[in-house]
Amino acid sequence: MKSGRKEIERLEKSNKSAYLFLAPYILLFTAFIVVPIAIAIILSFTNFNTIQFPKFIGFLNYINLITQDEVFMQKVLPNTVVYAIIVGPGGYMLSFLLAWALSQLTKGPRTVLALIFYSPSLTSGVAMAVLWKILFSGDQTGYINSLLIRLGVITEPIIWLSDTRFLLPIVIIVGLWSSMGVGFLAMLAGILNSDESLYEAAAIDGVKNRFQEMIYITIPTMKPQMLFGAVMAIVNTFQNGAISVQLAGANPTPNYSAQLIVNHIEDYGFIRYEMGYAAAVSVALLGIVYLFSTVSKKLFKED
Amino acid sequence: MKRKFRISMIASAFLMLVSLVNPPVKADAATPYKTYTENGYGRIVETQTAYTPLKTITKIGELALSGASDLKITDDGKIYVADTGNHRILVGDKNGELLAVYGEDVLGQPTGIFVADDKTLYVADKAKKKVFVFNSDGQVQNEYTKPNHPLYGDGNDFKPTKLTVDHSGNMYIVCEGNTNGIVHIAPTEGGTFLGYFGTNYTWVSPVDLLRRIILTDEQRARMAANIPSTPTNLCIDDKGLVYTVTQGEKTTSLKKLTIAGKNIIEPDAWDELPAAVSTGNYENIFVLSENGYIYEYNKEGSLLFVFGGRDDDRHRIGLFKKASAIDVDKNDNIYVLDSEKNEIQVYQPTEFTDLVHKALYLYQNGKYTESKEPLSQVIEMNSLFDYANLAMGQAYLQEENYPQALKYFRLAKDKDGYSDAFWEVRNIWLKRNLVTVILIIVFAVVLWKILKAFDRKTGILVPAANLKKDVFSNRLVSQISYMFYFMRHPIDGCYGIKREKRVSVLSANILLLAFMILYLINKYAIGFIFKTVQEGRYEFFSDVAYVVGLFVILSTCTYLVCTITDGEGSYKQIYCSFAYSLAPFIVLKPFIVLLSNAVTYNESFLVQFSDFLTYAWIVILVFLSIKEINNYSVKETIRTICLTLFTVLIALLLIFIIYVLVSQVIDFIQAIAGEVVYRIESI
Repeated sequence: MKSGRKEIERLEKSNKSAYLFLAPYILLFTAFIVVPIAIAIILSFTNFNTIQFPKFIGFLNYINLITQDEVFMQKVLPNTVVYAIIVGPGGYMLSFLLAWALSQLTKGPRTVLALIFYSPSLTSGVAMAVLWKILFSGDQTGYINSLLIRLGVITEPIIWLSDTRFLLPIVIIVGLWSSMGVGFLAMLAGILNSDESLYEAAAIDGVKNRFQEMIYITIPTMKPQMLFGAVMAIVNTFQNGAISVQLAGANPTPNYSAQLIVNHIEDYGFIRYEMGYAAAVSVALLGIVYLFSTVSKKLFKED
Repeated sequence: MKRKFRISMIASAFLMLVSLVNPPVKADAATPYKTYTENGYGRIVETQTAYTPLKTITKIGELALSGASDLKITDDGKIYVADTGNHRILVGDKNGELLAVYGEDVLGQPTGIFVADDKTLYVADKAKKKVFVFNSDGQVQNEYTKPNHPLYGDGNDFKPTKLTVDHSGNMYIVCEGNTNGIVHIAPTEGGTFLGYFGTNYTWVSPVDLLRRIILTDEQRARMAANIPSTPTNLCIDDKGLVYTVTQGEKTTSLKKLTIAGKNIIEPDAWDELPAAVSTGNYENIFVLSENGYIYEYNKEGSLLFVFGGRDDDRHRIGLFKKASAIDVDKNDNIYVLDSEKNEIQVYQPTEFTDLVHKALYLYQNGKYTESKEPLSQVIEMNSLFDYANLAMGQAYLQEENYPQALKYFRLAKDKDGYSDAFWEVRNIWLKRNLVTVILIIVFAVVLWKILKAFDRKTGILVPAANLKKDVFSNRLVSQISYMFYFMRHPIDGCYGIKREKRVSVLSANILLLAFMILYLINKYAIGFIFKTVQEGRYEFFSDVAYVVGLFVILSTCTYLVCTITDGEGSYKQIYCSFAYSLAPFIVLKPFIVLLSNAVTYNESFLVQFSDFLTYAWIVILVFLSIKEINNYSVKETIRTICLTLFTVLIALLLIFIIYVLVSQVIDFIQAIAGEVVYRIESI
């Protein structure tokens, strides 16, 4: 009798079945996320050129990163922070406003438009080459050069994608354009899910316009989706890098004018084969992303 | 940074006022003009005399000049003068003795000359529409007329006014009325037209741009054509770079053109009416204005000196009526031709200028260490000569002596150089101390955790927590710390101010005082590269008056407007909510100021971004407090704000009028008092 009760207790408290159900995810997560991160952290303490066995060098990579790598401190980090500050919150607000605007439409147009807004983040590589490279083409046949010359603003074409003054702003514009990603879809779903009766109640309580509805009802009810969107926006902006290299056509970008952290990692990892140093930079990136997502979680979880 | 020379007029007017009070300085007595330079803030300031008038040449031999318009000095000291009115070219030595006369019966109106290294003389003759080339014996060796080339343009006349020639004999000719640019002719086959060179650009104003977008082609054709201006004069240096001056072109009035015709400098200061340009022995550039001002620039177009001026019929030596040509000899003496006085004025450099030139020469050739000695002598003679401080900073930067470079860049007010030097200084500091700093932080965090864990068991921190609670339960402290709540929840915060009496006038005044102090700190202690005020200049009283006055006027006018637009707020509530709206400034600004002292231009966006955040936050808070305190809708709030701004304008006007009236009355009383005193004394 006594042992029977214990048996029941043991069964009740054990989470065997739960672990069984979790197993596939845990296996995949470990294999593709946890192990690579662990290896990256280990590699970041070594000098590794992909041919010889990694040599342990302690914190040297990190010390070099902060004190010796002038390109990182003078160009890459400022570029990345500017890019993240503008594209992160900017793209986030844009996603929210667009999601909110789309939610006001009927189902048919909404689906089509949502697909259109979502497509840049899906097809970015191809679309970028086709669309933006033609727009910002460096000779007078490029759309923007041609327009400006015709209006008399400039007299000779600007080589947009090699000019160190314009490359980063262009990358930021393209980044904003392609920032309507998963976060956008999640917010759209969140807005569509909100309770209709709440809006009715609010209307009775004196809410006058759509803007007030948004402030007082929509945002408070969809906090989880907002949080998800914010975290995704931050992670995505810090991990963006393909845009600048694709637009400039080379890594490193001209005079490092639009070099982001990810480009810097690729530069060291896959061009110079300094894997240990590249791993150290990616661990630093991990730290930055973690820091910012913690801050955004704090911001949205409060109250 | 770019400003016209007119500033110096104001400066000289001011100096004249000063000189009425003080006896004039002795240096001024020697020269009839003052010498100016540009300081690190881009202002034209007076400096010591750079050049003194040496002599005047009124005649070459026994021949007088008439309407002379060009002058060239050769390396061996011969003076060539285009004696335009007498249709000839005179050659003299540097004492004014006649050596030769060229082209007596050939030339019509010679306005521009050039002397090649082999003493071949090129003359641009406007009346004959030709360029004559004389060999050193005075015989006409060649003549060039209008190029017979389709690209020259059939409708363009060929009236050469000035010219210069490069080492291989290619001519650069300025033609009157030809807006296409400088005519570039090679000597081969009796003159081959190579094309137009160094064309000036036109500028499209926003209005023109708008017109171009709106108007039809037909209407556009009727608009006044936007034609580039013709260069006024030109010269060439030893490297074959062509310099042009153009009247009325501002920043491109002086251009330094590469072989490809691309401009590579932008002068700091410019004159409206440049007449001639020449290069010195240190790649320095001299520009002469028609009014007689002589500008000396270094090779990058930074202004070194301005001196000279217009002669107002007092015939003082060293001033001009209509200056027309300038050249420099091997000893750095400047020769300037006056085509109205028909004389050549010679200036010699002072010891100070010689030192500047010497330093310039060494520095530009990369001999930074050697250049430091003459530079320090220059600084010793004039510690406010910012160009020397700047060069000194650059020299130290090249030597990697960063702390010294930092010091001199700060003296020179050069923010770019300061930022670069500071980056290096900071980098060195980081290399040395980074590990220590990280260890200290880790140690502090660990210590704090241990203390917390310890506190949970023994309650060692309970007294501290109680003290904190006591402090915050103090009425005034809680009122002040209400600003943190107000910042984050402005709508509820306004309710607290309006209904719950969470704040008092005293706490609002304390916040205003804190704002005031932080405003001053922000203005005077912000990092050097963000500083907008001149170093060592403090205007505390006017700052305080300005901020307090603005705040009082704004809150009063808002209250006045609110009372007539159905606002519910009392003056106290509006005053308090405005003061609390300044909370972001009070909370964020200390960090921004600290940050600004630790960043370079690389990271300056951090400061700019947080500044933007602060001000945007304040604007939102003010907007919401007007709205909530008065229970307005958004539309009513915007209307109230517009009305308030208008009221403020009227109030300022009123204050101004009262100020003028009161000062008139005071003047009147003073005058009467003075009169009375005078009468009593004279009795």
